Amino acid sequence: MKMNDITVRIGGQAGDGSLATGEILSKYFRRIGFYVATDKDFPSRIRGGHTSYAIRGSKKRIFSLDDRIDVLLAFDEDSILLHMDELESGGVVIFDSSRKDLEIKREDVRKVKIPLANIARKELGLEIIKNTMALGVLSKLFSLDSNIMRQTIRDSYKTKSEKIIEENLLAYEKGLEYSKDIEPMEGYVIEGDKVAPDTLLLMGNEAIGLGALAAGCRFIAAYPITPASDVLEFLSRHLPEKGGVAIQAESEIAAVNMAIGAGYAGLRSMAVTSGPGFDLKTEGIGLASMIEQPVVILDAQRAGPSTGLPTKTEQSDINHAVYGGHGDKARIVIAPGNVEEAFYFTFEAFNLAERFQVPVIILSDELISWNKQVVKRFDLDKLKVDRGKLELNPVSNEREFPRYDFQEDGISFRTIPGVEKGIHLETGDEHDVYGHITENASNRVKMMDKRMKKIQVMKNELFPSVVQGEGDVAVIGMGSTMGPILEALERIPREIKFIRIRTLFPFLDDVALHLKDVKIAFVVEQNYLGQLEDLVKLNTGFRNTVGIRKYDGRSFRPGIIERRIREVMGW
Amino acid sequence: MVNISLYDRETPTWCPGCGDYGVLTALKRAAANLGLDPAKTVLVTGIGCSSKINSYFYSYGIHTIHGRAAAVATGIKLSNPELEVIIAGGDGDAYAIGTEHLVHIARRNLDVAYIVMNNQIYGLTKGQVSPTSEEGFVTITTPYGSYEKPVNGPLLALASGATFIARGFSGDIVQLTQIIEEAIRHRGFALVDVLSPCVTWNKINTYDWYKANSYQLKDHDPGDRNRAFQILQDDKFALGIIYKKEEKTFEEKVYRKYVHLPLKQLEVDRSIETIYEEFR
Repeated sequence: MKMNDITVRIGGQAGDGSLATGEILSKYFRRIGFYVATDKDFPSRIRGGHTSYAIRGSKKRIFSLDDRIDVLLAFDEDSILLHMDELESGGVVIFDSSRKDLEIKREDVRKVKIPLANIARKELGLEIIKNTMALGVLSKLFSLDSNIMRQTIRDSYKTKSEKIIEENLLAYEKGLEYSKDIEPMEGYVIEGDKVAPDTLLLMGNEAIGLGALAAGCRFIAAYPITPASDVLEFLSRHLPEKGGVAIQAESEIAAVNMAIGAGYAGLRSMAVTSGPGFDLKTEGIGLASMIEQPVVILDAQRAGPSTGLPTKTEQSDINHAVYGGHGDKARIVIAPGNVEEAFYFTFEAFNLAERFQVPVIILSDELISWNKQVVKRFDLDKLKVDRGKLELNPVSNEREFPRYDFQEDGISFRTIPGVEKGIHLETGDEHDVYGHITENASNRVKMMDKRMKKIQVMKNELFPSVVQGEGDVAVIGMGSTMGPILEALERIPREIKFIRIRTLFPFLDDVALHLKDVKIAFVVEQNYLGQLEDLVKLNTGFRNTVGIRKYDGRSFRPGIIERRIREVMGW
Repeated sequence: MVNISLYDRETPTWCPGCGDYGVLTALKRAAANLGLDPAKTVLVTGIGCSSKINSYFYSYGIHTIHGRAAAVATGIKLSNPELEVIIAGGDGDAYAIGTEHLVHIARRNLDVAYIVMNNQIYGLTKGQVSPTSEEGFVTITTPYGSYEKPVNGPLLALASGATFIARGFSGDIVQLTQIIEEAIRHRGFALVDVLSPCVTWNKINTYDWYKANSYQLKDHDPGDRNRAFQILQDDKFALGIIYKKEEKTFEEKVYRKYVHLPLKQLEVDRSIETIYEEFR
């Protein structure tokens, strides 16, 4: 018996409506009080090709998919070929037999064949709404609340015409009608609440956009790139309402430099990108470090190098985020582990950028950026804007404002153009306190020391690791691996300490403390070389690590981690 | 009128005789004639000899990355349209490494002036070929002569949608002052290409050479875009305002509701609750 935890994979050719169906289903789950985790799997092209969307709904708090799926809703043959093995014994495959009938070999699963497309075409006059019909079949199989489903369908299409809403509602009824003789699934119970909780269902990129708005960000510049474009799209809709600017720049390089210009002029600003664009932004990030300019950069990692797997996830930009670029630089690199953190980290990124006058890199990955999760309504009262040492009424009688004056904490007072007594220079060349170019050796040392001092000063104010559990066996992870790691550990009845690193640069001292009595540490990450593992070893001196790595572009499942730990530990 | 000494800053480190001195003087005079407030003016530059001009001109100044001045300036101007934003740099900055930004800042018609000090050579890196060097031009990196045709920056800017194109000569500070003044006053994107000899590395394109190879525009209607295209393709360099047209600026189009001015509205509307409905 599986209680209140179900994973549905919807597969088809691009254009079959798999994503739209998945969206409605995940909304439905939120409305009945379930948590949600999703994973999109689609090729980097627009027409054709197999696409699938996995949605897990669960009453317990989850952050990722399960190992297996319970339902395979297949609009095409590829869905059967690719995903049948994933289906849990006792699960169900719903196959749209309109294109061809197919012999489905497995005997341990239930098979529901129904010519969805044909019925939709013949009886509704519109083949594409077969996907909404399928929701009717699902409703019958799992005794879902049809009133809540109807409302969810209506709301999902509310930005479209009333006609489209009506068509989809009709398709849903048609799906129910054709399933009236189908017996509900045995062994599954989906018991939701009647009243939707005060939660939100959103993906990481949307949370990042909201976090930026809440932080008072008023400028975003970006070049379209998967999987970061959603943030630009979201803010392009919402920033103008608030008097801000969203601009699609002519290039990745233009975008980062525009954001730096906006920050210089006094607006909270950001640029969003993924690996290839992040490479191109390196020089700009160096400039921001040198002129001590606040700016927020999102790198939503995807599989690299080069174009890599553009629509697939990876965590292989760690080295670049931490070390990328020439010269010694002060910067901050933070890595949220879930959608909720994506919001709060983004909010705080703007504070950190201004407080320490450095570029702040939010290192997300495709899974966090695209994964839809259910979060509590954000607590805005807790969030305080801190613009740091922004001086808008300097009293100095000097002709030029000492923008890079030496202060105890290495952070000088900053001012912005338009301020009467604030005139100064900023330059990527080494400079004196007024921003004038100088190659003087002792000034160089003093300025380097000043900028590097900030790295030590900021350490106390960054995100410490989150530690769960005790014991001398540890698992270390960052970003989206949090979900599968947590579930893997639930399945192993042993004492294991999970250390989730949330700040990658500067590397915080707490990780070494957490590893003090640890004998072996598994480092889980989505890359080949073990970039996180290297970072941990280098910064903590801890040597006895075992890497659990994945680099096929697909996210971790708990089982992979569980099996590897059991294997190495002999458990 | 303000005294031009208001804009004095450091003493330039340019070579004696460098054309950029003429540009600096013309810029200061233009600023004085316009009464520019140094506190409300930002001089944005890239990298190169000419890009050091904001070390020598008193106002807010940001000396950025090679080729990226126009992008940084776009961020500044959009963030605070009340600022007078002027971009300055060399031909390498504008017409080689930063060409992409020139095209796009022109088509956006951002209300800034861009002064390009064009000496047809790379000076700060000691004498390599530039994007505006003539074909066959011999330099340390083109010992057998350049194999490439020169980039025609003003023509490119015009084709990209710039609403003000002018060319000046650092040997004629009076005219250059007028041109820069007009360019700053112009509402929209203004490109000023300045023939500004490099006396150290370019022994071909000298003051005398430019005098012999340029001419003054007479009885020219700057509103005639077709004529401007022709002029910019002349063998000799036309001097004066080549094209000028009033069009809506980028800032005017971008700001739909109200302009967020960093100095006046530090407290911004940070509410997001109205957006929550999208996520139910």
